[in-house]
Amino acid sequence: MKDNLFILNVVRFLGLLFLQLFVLNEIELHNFINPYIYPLIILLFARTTKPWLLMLLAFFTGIIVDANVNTLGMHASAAVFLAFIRPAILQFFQPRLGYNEIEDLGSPKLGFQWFVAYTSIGVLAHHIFYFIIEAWDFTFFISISMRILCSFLVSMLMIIIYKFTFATKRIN
Amino acid sequence: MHTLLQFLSRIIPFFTFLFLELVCFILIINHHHYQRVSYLHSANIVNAFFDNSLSGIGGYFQLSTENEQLVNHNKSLLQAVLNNKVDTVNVEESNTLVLGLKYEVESARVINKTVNKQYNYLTINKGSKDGIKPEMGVIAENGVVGIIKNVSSNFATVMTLIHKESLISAVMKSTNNFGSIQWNGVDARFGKLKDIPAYVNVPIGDSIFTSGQSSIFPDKIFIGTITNAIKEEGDSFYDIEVEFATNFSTLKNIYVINYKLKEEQLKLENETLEGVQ
Repeated sequence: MKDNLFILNVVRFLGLLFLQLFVLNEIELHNFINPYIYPLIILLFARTTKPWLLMLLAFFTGIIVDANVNTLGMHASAAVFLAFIRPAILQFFQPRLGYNEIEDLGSPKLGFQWFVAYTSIGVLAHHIFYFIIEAWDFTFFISISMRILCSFLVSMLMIIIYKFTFATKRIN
Repeated sequence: MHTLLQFLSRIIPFFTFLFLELVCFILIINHHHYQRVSYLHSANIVNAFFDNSLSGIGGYFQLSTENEQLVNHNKSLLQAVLNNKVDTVNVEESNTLVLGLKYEVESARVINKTVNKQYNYLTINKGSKDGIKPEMGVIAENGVVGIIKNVSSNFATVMTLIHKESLISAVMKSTNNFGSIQWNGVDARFGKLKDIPAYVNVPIGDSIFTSGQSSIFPDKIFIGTITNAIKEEGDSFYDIEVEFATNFSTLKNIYVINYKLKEEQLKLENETLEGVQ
């Protein structure tokens, strides 16, 4: 069981990173649409991972994405931020009966509604942080907001498509 | 002891967070303000290997060799044109007995690029092995593309015109007024021409060229055309919208310009400045 979870997390890490670097980063729809699926790596990583370890993992994930699009440090800082606030989001979305030793946060036991609510708050927080860092100032408030909103909607669409495509039934 | 451990477990995540964010911000600031050689950019061999092989699939086997021949042909033509232009237009310069070519052109293929970020770069398949150095100018068949930023042995990254910090000296064809070209930050097709004083008459449709004032681009390389010019009441400068000649989303072949006298020029200019101070 424990090994399975480890393999699942590694496969998810590689798969999502591949999708991000070679599919989503190549999308050239509009200046406002920059979908990011890699936050899912951090959001779905094994639940009881030590916070500092998760942040370190987030940092390296971010650096890999940064290296691909030449934004050194920007994705890393947004990813670390997401890893930092993940315990609070998990706390907020705790099911009535607690997580009951559910380690894999992509588990269908938690329900589809829970998944969408949890990931959308996480992805939104990540996008707000990232696009503000990217703009580096607040003078383009409307364009930053548009970028956050449009990219967020497309990111969530991708994440839901991902959820339907790679449902993790076999693990449980 | 127990309370100490409890205290530590509460405080460690926060300090990890602060520490990692600090590292990130140092990286961001270093990456954007200095021409540092860093290993984590897309000219990095691992990244570029993947991009190279992926974009190779699009090369359609024989078509790519055919393309290469055409590109090389273009390269030699462009080299001839650039050198010719300089020597015939500036009579004084041609009298200075400059032997050989002042500009060298190297062709390269775009193997990775972004167009919808705030900081848009290209990765090209030529690097220091082919004589490419940071701060060389990059043009395509239609016009200016950008400036070389990082170089590894086989690859290089190009900071494009559609990069928030890109600033290129330009000149208007009809009035010869100097300004600088910046990106508008939203649309990859349009930029802004800044510093054109309000008393100048700005015709819509006028062409914008490089000014030749920097040691990066030769003069009279096409940048784009003016599509809109607004003068606000009380402003001393125009708001000019420029449509770039280069289509960044379809860009495939580019040419890197090596100005061979750059070091000599910069050295002289620095000496002059030092003499003044």
